[in-house]
Amino acid sequence: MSHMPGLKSATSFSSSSSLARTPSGPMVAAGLIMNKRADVNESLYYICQRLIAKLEKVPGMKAYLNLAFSSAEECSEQQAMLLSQRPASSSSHHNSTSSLDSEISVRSKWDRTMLTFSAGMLPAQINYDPVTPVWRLFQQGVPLCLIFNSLKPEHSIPLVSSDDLKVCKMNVYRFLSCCKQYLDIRDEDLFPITSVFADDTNNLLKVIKVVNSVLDLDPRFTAPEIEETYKVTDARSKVVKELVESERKFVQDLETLLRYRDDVMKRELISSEDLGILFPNLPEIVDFQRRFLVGLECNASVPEKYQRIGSVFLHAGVQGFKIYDPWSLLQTQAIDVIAREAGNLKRSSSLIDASYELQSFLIKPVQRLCKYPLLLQQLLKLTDSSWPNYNELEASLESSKEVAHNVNEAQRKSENVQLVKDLQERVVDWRGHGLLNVGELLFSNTVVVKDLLSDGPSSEKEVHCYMFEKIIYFFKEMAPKNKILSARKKSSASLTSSSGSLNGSQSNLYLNGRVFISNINVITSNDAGSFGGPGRYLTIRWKGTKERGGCVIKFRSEEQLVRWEAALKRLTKDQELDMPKVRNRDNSGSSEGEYLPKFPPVVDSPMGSARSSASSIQDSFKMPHVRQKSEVSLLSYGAPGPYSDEKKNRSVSSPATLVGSLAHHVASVELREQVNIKLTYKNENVHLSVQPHVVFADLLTTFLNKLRLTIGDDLKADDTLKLKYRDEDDDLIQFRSDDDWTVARDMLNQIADEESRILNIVVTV
Amino acid sequence: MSAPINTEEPRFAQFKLVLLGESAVGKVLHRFVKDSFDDFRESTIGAAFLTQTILLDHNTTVKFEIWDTAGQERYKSLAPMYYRNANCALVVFDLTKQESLEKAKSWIKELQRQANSDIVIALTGNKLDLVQEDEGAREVSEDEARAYANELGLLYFEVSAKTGQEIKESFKSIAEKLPIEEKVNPRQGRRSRNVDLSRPNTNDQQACGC
Repeated sequence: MSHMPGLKSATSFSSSSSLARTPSGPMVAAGLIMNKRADVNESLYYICQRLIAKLEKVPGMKAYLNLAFSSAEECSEQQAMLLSQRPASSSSHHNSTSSLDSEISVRSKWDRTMLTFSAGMLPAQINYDPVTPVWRLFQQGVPLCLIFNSLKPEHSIPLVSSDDLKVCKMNVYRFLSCCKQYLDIRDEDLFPITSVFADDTNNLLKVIKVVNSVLDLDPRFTAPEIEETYKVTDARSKVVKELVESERKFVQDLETLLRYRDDVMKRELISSEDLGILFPNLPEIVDFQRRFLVGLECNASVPEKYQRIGSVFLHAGVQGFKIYDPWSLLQTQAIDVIAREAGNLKRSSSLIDASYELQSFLIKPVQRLCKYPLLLQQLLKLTDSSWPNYNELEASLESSKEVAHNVNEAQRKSENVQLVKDLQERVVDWRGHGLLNVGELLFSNTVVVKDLLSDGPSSEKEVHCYMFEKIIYFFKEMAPKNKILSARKKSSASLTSSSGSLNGSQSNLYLNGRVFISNINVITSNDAGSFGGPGRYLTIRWKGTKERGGCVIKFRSEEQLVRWEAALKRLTKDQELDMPKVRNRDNSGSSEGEYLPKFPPVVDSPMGSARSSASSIQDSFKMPHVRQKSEVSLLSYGAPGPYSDEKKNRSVSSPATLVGSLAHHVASVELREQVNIKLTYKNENVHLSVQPHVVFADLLTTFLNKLRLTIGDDLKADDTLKLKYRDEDDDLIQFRSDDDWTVARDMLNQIADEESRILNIVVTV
Repeated sequence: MSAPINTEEPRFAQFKLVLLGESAVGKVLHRFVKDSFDDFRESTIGAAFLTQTILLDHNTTVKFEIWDTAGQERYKSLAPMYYRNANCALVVFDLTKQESLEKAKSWIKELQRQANSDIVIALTGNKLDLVQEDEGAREVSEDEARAYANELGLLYFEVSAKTGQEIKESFKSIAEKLPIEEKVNPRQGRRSRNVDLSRPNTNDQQACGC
């Protein structure tokens, strides 16, 4: 292609990387920057090695260099000491993940042990990395003056060596002003004095750049580019090389991104808020990753047996990599910003093509973190377990897995927040339930569920299944015929949900079933017995006061099944430990205290009772009935055939409370919204929700039970509660009968704001 | 690569392609890129973003921006980051492992649920070389996989990452299915996702397929 000039490919490993630098037009460059191999000579490790070689040629520099070397050695020793005093990695990450350290302390933890520019403990063969001495050298100040003096002896700066920081700064100042005065270097091409003393690679590189350009003025001080000497001799060295090379590439990509960010910032076309989303803490990350790379480069320079690559990873550890948290979490939003601001981004910089490549650049950190475990796994496999640093490497693999896992988890959690928001929007009928007091969303999957209490193909259906910490909800999709509703949803969602992974055309949901986690007493996986065909099945059974039942959930993937099962087992176990569970006889009727205090005491499916029939008349005109008809057609969607030839081998023997047997469900499950209540007893408050049709007597019992389990531990089971509720004028009104209850509910119904639609009840004995 | 003879204005379109499936996917990618023209040497697994350009017809160039998730399938929550805004997806399975097809199917379901609605998905069976050597090694029958693909409106290929067989062809078929006109012409490409043109455009209607 005419616009794709033949490119030299840097084929062999040891070939000088300068070969790969081919000048090319903008379009090609955009494509190439991604495919291009990292340039060794742009790696801080090599930059400093070459710089030291140049500096050694400056007359009189040796002494200062030696001083810098020994200072760097000291730093390395101290760093190693700090690291060896740190608790063993395995225990340290457990503490660290659970603690909600602020970003600052994450940073400072890393900083406190980072005394050099090389992460980890150096292999025994190396006393210092090449970067730290350069940093220490400049801080003396005098070496900079020496460089200038050797170029312009006629304008020599008087050399005043001292440990005093003020004197050192003065020397740097003199160097800078002489560069301006006699070498015609412009102010903007120099660095501020603070750059020399900052503990940060971004600043250090600024200084190095100037020093290099000054040294380059004199041909005496040139040094050849450093050749990468690493030799691939066996499978392991190949992996090391891959690790180091891909790390270099990663760092250089980050540096490109940093330059891009600077370009964009300069043009001021993108708001600072958007910049924060696109490049959160980028300079920090680049600094972090450069030191990490220097650590790897150091290790690659010693015989394999003595490498301490594991130590580099462990130094950063789970804590250190938390630096990427904001990065991965803002990823989704960043994609939206790119789409929205593509034009302005393009106008700001051509370094990275905004519409093609920027997104690929932004995802690199996440991608890299997930790659480390793979690389370390390979490396460990090829490492002799008798080698001195084997254990360290092994620990680092675990640590890197945890890092990747955390990135994934953080992402999942942030998605879940969005999912809960979406759910709130999508569910048009909660049937008296809601998202209050259900705990955190753990998983949400689309599954096929079969109710164990009913039969036939009709009882298998695809549902959206949401597991919260305390309840599992099953939702069915509504046929998208309700145009008004969905249009409304869309318009309100279009602003927010463009950031979600789902597009705006989500159909509405209605609650189809629910299981209280606290009632679950059997959890078995892979029980395909009652479901045809192979698959991943989870059977759960539950037993509550007025309900018992079971269902089989068919998952789409093994992974989902494993996660659900593990989480359910953990949750049910926690609850057993949490509180002694009162298992009541199975008779329906009274709503006694077997509801655990964590749950809103929802009165459920009291089938055949006067109450429910009353409510079902009232509710019969509501939508679910209508919806049922269209449901059959929905059912077949996505539910593949294998299980349809199931035999009917059970009879409906008890009120079905879960999905399936919808006829029962609709008749029995309350369709009204629940009533939210705040009980105040002895100046303490507790919240709960009840069904509106509950009779006053039951309400009293529910309240008493709730209080006894929470704030009213002095109450006895036979105590009689006296209730007053607060009316709209804030007066306390007697609450003694079903009539009072009706009045109170009517009052609530007139409150437009859902948030404040809470019945405040003051309780005394 | 020889330059096209410019009788018409050259057309250029760029698409994002995401690779999903078994970890052998990476190899497919590398074969594809290595075999052809862009600057890329024997790959390291660290470099997972690549661009690849293919010439669809004498004046139509399609550039793929390839996103490789190889090895990261276990980090499920991160996958959407990869396939968001993708124009096409290559979902790879192993012809010699039935279960890999199941995994591929679940990726396809996820893509159809979550990705761009007009995403072009190619179900791709790898290790064709093994199967051709020994038909007994095959666990997934071509008929079965193809029927599944047809039912869902997917492209279907059988390739060998090892020998490179059929790989270029499959990328080409994908390119042919992509809405190049939309990409090339800004007016038709109004609903653009990450769409842009970097080449002078033309409204030549018949130049799409080859």
